[in-house]
Amino acid sequence: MTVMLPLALAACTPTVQMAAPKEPITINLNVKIKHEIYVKVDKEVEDMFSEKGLF
Amino acid sequence: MKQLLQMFALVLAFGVSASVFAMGLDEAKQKLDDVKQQGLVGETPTGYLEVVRDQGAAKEVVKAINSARRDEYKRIAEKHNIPVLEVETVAGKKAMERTPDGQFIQVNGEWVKK
Repeated sequence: MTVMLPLALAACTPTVQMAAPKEPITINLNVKIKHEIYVKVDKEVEDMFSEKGLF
Repeated sequence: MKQLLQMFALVLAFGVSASVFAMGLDEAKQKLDDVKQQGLVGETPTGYLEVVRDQGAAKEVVKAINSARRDEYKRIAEKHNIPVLEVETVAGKKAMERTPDGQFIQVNGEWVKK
């Protein structure tokens, strides 16, 4: 029994593996740029509707 | 010389008559609110106006305003280097949101009074 206990504990210890994702930075950047463009486009459309009288 | 003058007169005449038939943008802008309130014209998800009921100036207003909108969408799209369709989609969503109660918007191809 005393011999089995450390073995049983060792068997239950979860192993965590860290692996770097392949292209995380590029993806995040794209999302950020796209969001910024969207915000700008949204504002320009807003201006176009209100100031230029096209709405 | 006489021929040249005649040609010139002809071109001028066509130019003048064309401007009489096609509604100017300023006039269309002035009438836009009226035709919307009368329920003749509505906003669609495409970012453009459409005729709900073909009456009065509806068609002409839609044509003039849509043409001006198209130019603006194109300008914005080129500025940010994105497809015009994306700008149109943003505009369509905004136009429908901004439409006051009682006016027409197009939902799934059907005209709905907001």
